[in-house]
Amino acid sequence: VIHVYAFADGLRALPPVEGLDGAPLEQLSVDGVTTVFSRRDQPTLEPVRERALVHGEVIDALMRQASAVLPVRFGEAVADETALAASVHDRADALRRGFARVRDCVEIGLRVWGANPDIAASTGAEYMQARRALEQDRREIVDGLHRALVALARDARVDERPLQGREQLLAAYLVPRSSVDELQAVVDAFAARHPGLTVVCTGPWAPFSFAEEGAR
Amino acid sequence: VSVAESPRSLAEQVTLLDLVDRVLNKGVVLTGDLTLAVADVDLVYVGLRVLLASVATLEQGAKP
Repeated sequence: VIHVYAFADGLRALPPVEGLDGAPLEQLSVDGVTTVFSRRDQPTLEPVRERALVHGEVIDALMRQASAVLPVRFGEAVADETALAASVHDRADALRRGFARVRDCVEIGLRVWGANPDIAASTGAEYMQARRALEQDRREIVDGLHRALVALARDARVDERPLQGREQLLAAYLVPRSSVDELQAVVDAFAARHPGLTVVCTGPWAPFSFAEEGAR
Repeated sequence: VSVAESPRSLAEQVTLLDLVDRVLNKGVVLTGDLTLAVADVDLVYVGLRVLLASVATLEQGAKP
């Protein structure tokens, strides 16, 4: 079967990395859209984590060789080149719109956690009131950071999965390469001002969260 | 990228979580037919999240 890594636009050359299980990378152009893939015999993808990391490394390497990359979700298989060509043909318009959307941008991930607050209160009701006020303040502070980052980004997605534990915000920002340093500076300054919050930026990633139109 | 369970900084843990999260859950959906078992994905994902939760707790505890 064929394992697809990504669609690429303006691909100068295949990157000098191996695909899954050491298979060579190959490319196929259909309707002006280049698909990067490799072939594999095994029906399963175990162990998942190791192979998922290889998938991610190939996409990361492609980001250095192309002007726009649309990553493909790990774990899908296409029967052969004929089926791949048909699949690309069917979605060529959407893929070209996707290239325009993400061109010259990278994705930056953001996670914010809050520490458990020390709340001094003599009654349960007082405690609950203080806690609600603190949570409200925190939401406004984190919203402020989000808005500042949206202003630097071409697009943004807030992860809609329910927050767990101390998570305050999970988001992704599609940022022009030229604005990445500025965004990092905004995050660093925010983290320094708010020691009660743990803020971690990851990336730059390929635009995984922005690969599908209207994806959330 | 090594995934050995050695002590790492919070940033490294989060980076690994974010990478796996993106590769498994985001990106263009080609066929909708996943060739890997959902249970495998859950295992990878849940393991990382638990790991990360404990790291985040440690970092919080270390702050003044």
